[in-house]
Amino acid sequence: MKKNNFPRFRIYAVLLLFFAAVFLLPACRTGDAGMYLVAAAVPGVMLLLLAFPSVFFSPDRPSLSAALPLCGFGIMAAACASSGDALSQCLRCAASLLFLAAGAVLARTFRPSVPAAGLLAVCGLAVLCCPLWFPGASFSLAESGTALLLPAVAALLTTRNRLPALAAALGGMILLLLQQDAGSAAVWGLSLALLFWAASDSLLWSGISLVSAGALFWIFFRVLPPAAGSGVSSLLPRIASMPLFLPASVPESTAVASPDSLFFLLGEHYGLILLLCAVLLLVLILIRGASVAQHARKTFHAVLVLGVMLHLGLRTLLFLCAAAGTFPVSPESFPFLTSFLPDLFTHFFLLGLLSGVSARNEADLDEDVRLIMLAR
Amino acid sequence: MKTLRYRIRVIALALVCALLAAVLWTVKSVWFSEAVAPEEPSGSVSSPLPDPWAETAPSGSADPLASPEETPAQAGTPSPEPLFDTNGL
Repeated sequence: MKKNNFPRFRIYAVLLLFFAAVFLLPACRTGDAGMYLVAAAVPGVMLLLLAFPSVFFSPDRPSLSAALPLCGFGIMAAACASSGDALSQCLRCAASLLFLAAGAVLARTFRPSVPAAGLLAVCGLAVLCCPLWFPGASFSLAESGTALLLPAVAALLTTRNRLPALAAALGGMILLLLQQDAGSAAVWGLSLALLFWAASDSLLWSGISLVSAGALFWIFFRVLPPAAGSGVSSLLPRIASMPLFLPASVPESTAVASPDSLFFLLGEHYGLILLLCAVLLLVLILIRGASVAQHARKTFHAVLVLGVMLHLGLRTLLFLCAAAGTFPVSPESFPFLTSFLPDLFTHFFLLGLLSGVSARNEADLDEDVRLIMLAR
Repeated sequence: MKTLRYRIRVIALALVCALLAAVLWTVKSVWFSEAVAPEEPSGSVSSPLPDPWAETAPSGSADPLASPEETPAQAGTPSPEPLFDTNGL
């Protein structure tokens, strides 16, 4: 048993030493008490979550091992602005862990039924309506709303209520298009079409979902004029100015201006290699999600985890394409590497759904072993 | 369930490939924008090429791109006298 765990503990040790060094060195240089606190808190919480997970709840260790370094990168980027920003980002990540537990509990206990799915769908649509009730608000709750719609659509698809599932999903898409959030609407529309393709037995429903999502998109962008000042410039020059590894001179500390700025701050202060590592960590989470979905015993759990993968993967793809200027939308937030609290809560909630299904798979395997032992 | 598992695998593979392609595309865009962009002189704003629209001749209908030999005589400007007057010969 010890032999099997040793490589994993070596990886954890390297991770903890890396984050301890990254915060301790600037703390020793500047003598900032806040940075000393961050240097103790970040590796400490990572150690608690990775080494002793069953004490608190049963998260999926591989995906958590990939998500925690992403949070660490976010704190590193915030530390480039000031130690106060780093501490704030630490507190945000710590608060988000509650949503990780909530997602895990929901995935383990949720029984797919029409009333429960209906309740979740109503909550998701209500969250998506919030920015419409406050027209002057600059925030977007697209990720939170679609994350609540996801278990509802998965449950309705599993119980063969395809029309209500399509109605709920298209309702969410209409609300996103009314807020002129083209990126989120495209991500949700594509996720909807792929979920229908994966979960339904007939190609007809897959075609209907794809055509209806595409038609809605076309109608809204023909009928509604684009928002004033919605032109977005490419961020390629900013990416091109980033060093490959570490800059020759320390850049000026800039404030954390927007949710997507952590990603670019990280690149400017630590190099493009670290940004590439962030993308690869997300790819690891997607691969782990695929593995968990394939081993799920129930269709609902498999479709749920597939939805989580689509949400995180397509969001990251949209972010990268928006940053490169391929899509004329502004990059919103990179998963786990954002300072916008609702989005960070959503990312951990989705990770919690994945953890819950993974825990359910392990429980099913243990049950199988117990039955085999009893049969003997 | 078998079909679902197969489709999950396909979607996961497509997602991962799309992400890696997006990274490569961004790297290629950054790389080629640096390679193609000309080197700008530090500090100086003047371009090395002569400005054809610069005010070197009096304003008028003069064509700045025309060669000096083709420039028509300006009104009022006396034409240069010939070196040899052939009328008295």
